[in-house]
Amino acid sequence: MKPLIYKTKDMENKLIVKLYKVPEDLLMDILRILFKNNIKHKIIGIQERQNIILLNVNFDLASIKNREAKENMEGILTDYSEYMKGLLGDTVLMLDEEDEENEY
Amino acid sequence: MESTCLYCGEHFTAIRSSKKYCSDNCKQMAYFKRNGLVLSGTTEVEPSLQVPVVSVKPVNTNEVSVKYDNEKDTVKYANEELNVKYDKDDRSEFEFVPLADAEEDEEDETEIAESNNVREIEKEAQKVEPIKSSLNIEKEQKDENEPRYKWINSKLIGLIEKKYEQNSGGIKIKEPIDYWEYEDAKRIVWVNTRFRCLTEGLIKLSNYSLIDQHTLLCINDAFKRLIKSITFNKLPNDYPFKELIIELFLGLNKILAEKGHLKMLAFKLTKERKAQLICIRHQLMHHTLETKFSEIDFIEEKTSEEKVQQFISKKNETEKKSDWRYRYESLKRQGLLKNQQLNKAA
Repeated sequence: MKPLIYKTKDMENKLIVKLYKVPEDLLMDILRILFKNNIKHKIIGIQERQNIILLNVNFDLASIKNREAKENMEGILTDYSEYMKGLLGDTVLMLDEEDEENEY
Repeated sequence: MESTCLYCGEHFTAIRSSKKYCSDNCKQMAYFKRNGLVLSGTTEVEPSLQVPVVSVKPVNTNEVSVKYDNEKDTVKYANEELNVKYDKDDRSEFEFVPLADAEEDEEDETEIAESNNVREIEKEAQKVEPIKSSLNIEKEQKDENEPRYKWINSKLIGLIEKKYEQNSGGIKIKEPIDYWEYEDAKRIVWVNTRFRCLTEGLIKLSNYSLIDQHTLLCINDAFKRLIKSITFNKLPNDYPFKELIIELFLGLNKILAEKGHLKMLAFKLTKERKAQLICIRHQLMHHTLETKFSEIDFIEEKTSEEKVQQFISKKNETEKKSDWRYRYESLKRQGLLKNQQLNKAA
């Protein structure tokens, strides 16, 4: 069973988990952002045929660095999906925030 | 039970035998009396109840320390004159402030109260300020310690933007009919539609980890047909993608020559090339039709004469005979048309 994590409302609002699909073309750029800013992340899957990885990233929005890193990442992904419009099929690079059920 | 009040001496009936006073008032007054307090309108304190004044003479000294009094420089104690020593330190403590007029008292009071409030606020502010300043220092130190975020740019997107700045296609692609003559523009639109399809195919294939050799052969064949077509060869010299299309065809040929024996192969483009293709495709996207590779015909558009031939050949024999073109052609072949013309001339 997943352990319960207790959070205050402020913390709940500031700590977010985001799921991204990162194509091979942007992998190094995205990883560079994550490593340089010590952002907690986890590769949760690979779409082998299309060379895309599924990346879970934990952002602490209270930290300026984290906020800017998030903007940076999303900016790159948005630009890429704009240029590749129609070529990525139904692949959406930025997915919604994950709701963790056992968090209170 | 009958008893007498110890304060006023009146008789009263008491429930308890120990009750001394007739009322609470007498009880309170008796208390004041015991402690030597005299209230206005009451009798003086009894001499027996008065506290005796105890006088103490200093033992080993002739000096008595008294508080500042302008009139008295000496103090008499038991008919002995004692020297007075002014306690200068005490005097300095008491600085006499001139009293204000009675009317101004209230205002002064409020002013004093206000000034007191202001002082209190100032004091509090003084207390808070060091905390604030320390916090500010901490913040500043934090800001100084935390290096500014360095924006990281994607190499590929940077290259695409660079290509856009170079503007390889530009207005020529956006409005070919405005830029070229009608016939040229028509050819350009025909080539652009096919080139867009091929570019998209190449970009998609480069994203896959492995592709089928047959797919690459199909694309190579499409390039070959496109390049060999009369329309392509009749393109105006300033058409921007002519050289690139030939370059891509040669590149594909090279890959197939090297890896043609493999059933599945990895098809990768360099970042520069991919950026170039993405940029061109993005430009073409807004001005040319989107067509699927399977639906598009890479065989060149036929001339009007060829179209007529095709039209005739497709028709049935009966239909052919009824068609004036067929009859005209058959007559021509038989030489009848020549004879008729000669007769007409005669």
